[in-house]
Amino acid sequence: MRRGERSDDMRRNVAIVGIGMTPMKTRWRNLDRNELANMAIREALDDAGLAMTDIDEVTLSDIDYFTGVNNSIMWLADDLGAYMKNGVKYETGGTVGGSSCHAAIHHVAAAASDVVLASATMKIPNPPADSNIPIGAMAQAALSSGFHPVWERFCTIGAAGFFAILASAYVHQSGCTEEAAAACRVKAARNAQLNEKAHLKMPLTTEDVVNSPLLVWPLRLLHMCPTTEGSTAVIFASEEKAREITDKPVWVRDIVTIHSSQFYTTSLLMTGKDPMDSPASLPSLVKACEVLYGRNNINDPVEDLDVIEMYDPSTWAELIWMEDMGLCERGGAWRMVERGETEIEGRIPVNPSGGVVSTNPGTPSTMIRYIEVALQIRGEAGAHQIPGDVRRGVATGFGGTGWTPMVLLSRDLD
Amino acid sequence: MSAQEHEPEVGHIRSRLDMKMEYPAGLYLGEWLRRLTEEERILALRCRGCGRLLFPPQCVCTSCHTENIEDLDWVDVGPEGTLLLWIAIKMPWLDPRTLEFKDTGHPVGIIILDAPDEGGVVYMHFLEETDIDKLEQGMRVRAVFKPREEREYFPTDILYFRTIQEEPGLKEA
Amino acid sequence: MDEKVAIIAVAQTRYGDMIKYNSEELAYMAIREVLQETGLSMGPAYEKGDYIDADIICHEHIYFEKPFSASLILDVSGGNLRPEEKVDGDGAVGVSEAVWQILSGDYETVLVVAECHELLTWRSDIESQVFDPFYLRPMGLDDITSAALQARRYMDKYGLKREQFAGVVVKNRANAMCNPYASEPAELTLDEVMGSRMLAYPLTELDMRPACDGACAMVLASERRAKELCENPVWITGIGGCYDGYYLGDRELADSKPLREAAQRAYEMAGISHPREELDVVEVSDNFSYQELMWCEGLGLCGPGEGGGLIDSGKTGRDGDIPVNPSGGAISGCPHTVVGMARIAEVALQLRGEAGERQIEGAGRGLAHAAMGPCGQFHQVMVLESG
Repeated sequence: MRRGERSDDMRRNVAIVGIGMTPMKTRWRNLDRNELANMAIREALDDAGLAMTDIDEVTLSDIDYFTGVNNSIMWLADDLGAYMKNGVKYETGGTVGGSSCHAAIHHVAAAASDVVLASATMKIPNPPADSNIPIGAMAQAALSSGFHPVWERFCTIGAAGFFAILASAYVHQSGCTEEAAAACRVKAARNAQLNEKAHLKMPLTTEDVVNSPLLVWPLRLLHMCPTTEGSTAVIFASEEKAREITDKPVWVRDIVTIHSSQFYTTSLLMTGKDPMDSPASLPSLVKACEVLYGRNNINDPVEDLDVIEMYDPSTWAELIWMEDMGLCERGGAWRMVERGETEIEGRIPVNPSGGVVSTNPGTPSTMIRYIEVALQIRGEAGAHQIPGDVRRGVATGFGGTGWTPMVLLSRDLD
Repeated sequence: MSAQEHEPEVGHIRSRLDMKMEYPAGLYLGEWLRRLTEEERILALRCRGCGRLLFPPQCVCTSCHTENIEDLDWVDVGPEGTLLLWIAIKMPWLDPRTLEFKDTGHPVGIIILDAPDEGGVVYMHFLEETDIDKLEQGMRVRAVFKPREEREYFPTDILYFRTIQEEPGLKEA
Repeated sequence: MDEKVAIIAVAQTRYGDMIKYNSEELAYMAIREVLQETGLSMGPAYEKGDYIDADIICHEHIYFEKPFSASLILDVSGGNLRPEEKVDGDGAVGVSEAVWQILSGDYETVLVVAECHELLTWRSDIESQVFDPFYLRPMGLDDITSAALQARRYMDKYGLKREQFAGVVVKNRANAMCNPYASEPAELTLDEVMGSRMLAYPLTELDMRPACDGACAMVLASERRAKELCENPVWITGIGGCYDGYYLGDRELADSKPLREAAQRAYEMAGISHPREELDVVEVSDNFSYQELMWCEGLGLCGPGEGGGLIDSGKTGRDGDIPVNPSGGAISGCPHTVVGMARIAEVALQLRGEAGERQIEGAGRGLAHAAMGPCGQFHQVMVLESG
């Protein structure tokens, strides 16, 4: 049993040994949710060279309210391979793909089990066929139900509303123009074209973005993520097992989770004494980075990290999260993007996968960030692989009322 | 041919969750709603631990985790405030419960309601002004209430926030 | 387990009609008690001190028509700018998650809270949604009808009688007279139970756990911290959890295979080979009357099909060999999401000698059981010890 210098070191080292990710599409017309989940799980098992009997436990991410099923782990149990095994289900909104991973990591580190599978699947029920409700509006309505039923819901419109507020604040404070923000979206599109599993793979120009229809002013359609269906699965193992299973374990060096107030306005806009002066910022992300960087000797993330996959449901989020993560000074993210520093070949590649703004199945989205960093470390990201050595990377999640799970993954244990 | 390659659409089942659900506002929000609806007062709760104004009022302070249960320190805020940000809904907007379309005419403002503290309290609500080109950060706004007979003990008993035209000279009064 | 985790504080609210409180207020009623008892507070994230390092909220969001409904409690559980997780399941699962979080080394003290406002809505509507919309939901299956299927199967396979099921209700509701938290303590007769309104044969209204509101909170601590903070920690010495398959037709409803498996794992961990002799008190999640008997069989307190004998002989009574549900169990009133965790709370109180009038003298080792999903698709067994 290794113990590090920190007194709060994990008891056992944990590695990612198997990864599964279905292609991400608008609709998986020919598979139901269980089949979709099972598809990703089989891919992860194949990747690890394991059978379902080698998995000790299953952790599940799910958001039942979006799927019209109660207690979904029950229906999914057979296809998750949870039969005669322990399992647990987490529900933390968009961060949930991270929560199930963190739970698996805790179980393995605690020696509850040696090999644990985390699963996340999104398959969205549609508006009634005979109604005139567009699916985008339906998705936002489902997200609106995440706002407080008395205090906030009456005047919010889902994630689009939330990111419109952030966009509005960022524009005011940083002087970022629409064109500059569009550069960030265009980069994501370019990267997504190199990612065979991404959802939106169409090339985009600045004009496309700037002229796309308004959703919630100042947020435009192309600033926001799509609604996607797909599934992911990750297998975690103890150090001993990992070395037996694979010669390319991706080590979990640290995990941090920070949640924040149930009221979005409190979460977002009380960062300073005077809200008129509050920067556009996600406080939980700032705090998570403070903890993760502080405990892992990351003094300059641009230099000390090789890749970042951050959860960007909106182009504006990517810009703001870059500043929150300390990649540049406040108000400077859009300039950093314009200089090409976050490109795949740049100083600090951000979202080489195309990010959430290209692919957002919600439930798996944080897990996809974790997976993408792992693939980069393994050198298996295909056309969107970062050139050179990828030794350390950070992945973040986002969801709920503005929460942040975060992981530091590395190629080596030292 | 594997299941993935064969592409017939799986059957769809129509299902509706006809659930009764009543959300309890609780003691603190309940009191807030009562004062809003009956007295046209907007209240915040001052935290006995850190002095922050809790808005909405809650039994525990989000920041310092001090409980505020006895001897509550209610503080009036608003009904006027300063406009910080705004968003305007341009896409079809559904009520999550009824799946009915809602009116998107009024932008939603993030308003800093006047409070005894510097900084004020943050509130999100509709703005009367429908033309977003006329909105400016720093504008003054005031809550406009629905007629009494239409009120429902809900935040929408404030209809929206109206832009206040500042008249020169009034400040000296 | 070479390192141990203990429960160092426990609190329950009264179970009943708590509609005038919202979720966070109700949850806080339990949270404040455990904070006061431990003297711990919510410090800055990931900093060492007399703090709750992290917390877990257990909340079933479909009951609140809201995704991640646990956020409703977040401000009072210390979730703001701190580490928190949200489990969509019974609080008992949250407790075992807290154990793993602590044993992993990530945290030393974890607050777990479970809350439900079951009275806000109609439970069976929601429970019908656990059944898939293609094959099962159109048949009108819900928690009551599926339990009735299971009860029938149990009776047919092993010859149990409705009187024996009713006996569980009579025993437990009488036990609940000594439990200030239970919502429906009562002195009942077998005839009253069997004669109450029939829901789905053989189950009557009194065979079913009544809906109610409430919350339960606990603080768990690593061995090191538990010894510093608490004079009578309750050690968790065994945990086992296990899923069955989903479709009712694939399962032998009268024999709970996943429960046997979960119990076996927990017993192995705790070093128990003869549960009936080695356990002093047992709390099982009897959402329906017949389940207490079935779950006792699965736990090995008697042989398969012998559950009826337990109630007939009085062995599971307050003064019996192996008291089961001296608190009154779920059937005396405990809300969804809280049921399994309240069983852990009750066993913990027993082992601390704080169970008041329902105290089993000299209880040193106990078992708490949780069941979730249709006909108990998932079971969790936890063994606890004092000292």
